[in-house]
Amino acid sequence: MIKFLLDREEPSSEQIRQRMDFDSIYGGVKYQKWIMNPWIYVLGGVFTALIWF
Amino acid sequence: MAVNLTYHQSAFRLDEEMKLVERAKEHPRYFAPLYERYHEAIFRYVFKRVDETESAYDITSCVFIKAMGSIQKYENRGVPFSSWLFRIAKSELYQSFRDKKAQRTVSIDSVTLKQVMDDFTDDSSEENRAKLLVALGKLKEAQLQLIEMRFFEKRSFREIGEIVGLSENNAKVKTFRALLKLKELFNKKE
Repeated sequence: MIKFLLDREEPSSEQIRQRMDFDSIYGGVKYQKWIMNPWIYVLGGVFTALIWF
Repeated sequence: MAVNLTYHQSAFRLDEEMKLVERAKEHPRYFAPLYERYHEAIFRYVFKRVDETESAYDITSCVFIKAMGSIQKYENRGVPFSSWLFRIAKSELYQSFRDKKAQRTVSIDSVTLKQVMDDFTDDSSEENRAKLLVALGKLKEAQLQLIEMRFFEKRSFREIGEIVGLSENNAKVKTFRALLKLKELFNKKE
C-alpha cells in the first residue's frame, strides 16, 4: 500500500547537516569493521579458555 | 520541462571526483569530501520515499556506511559517483520496505501534481486529483519510480537511466510507457 504525502515539509539543509555529520557515519563504519574482524572472536575465545581452565 | 542540472557535471568535475574516490579507497576517513557533496541529495531522495523523517535519516546513514565499506568495489564507468550512491540508496530503501521498517511513500507538491494532471484533463478538481493519486497507486513499482523521478523530482532521462540501470533512451521509452499507463488508469471508468 502506497502512502501519498502532499506538500510535505522537508528538513532544511542546516537540519540535515546537523543531524548527519560525517564523524557519526565514520564511527559506524569503524564499528562495523571491528565486529567483522574474526580475530576479536579468536582472541576472545582464547582469553575465555585461559580464564576457564 | 526543466530538469535538475546539479547532476550533470563537466568532464573536469567528473575527473576531480574520481580523484576523490581513489583517495577514499585508501582510507574511509578520506570519504568525507564525497559525503559532504552528496549526503543531502541522498537524504532527500530517501526522504521523499518514506513516511517518517527518522527512517529517512537511518536509511541514509546505512547507505553511506555501506558505500564506505564497499568503495573498493566501485568502478569508474564514466558516470557521476552519485549514481552509484543512488543505486545503494534504492536497494537500502527496498530492503527497509521488505523488513517493514519503513512505508513506501510518494511525496508530491500540489503544483507538480496539477502540472501532471493538466496533461490528462482540463478539470483539476479535487475529485480528479484523488483519481490521479489512485491511478498512481495502481502503477507497477518500476513505472511509479520512473514517473516519480521524471515528473516529481525533475530528473533528466540520463540520470534516471543511471539510477535504475537503463540506457538514456530506454529510460525515455519506459517513462513514456509508464505515462501512457497512468493516463489509461486515470481514464478508466470504475
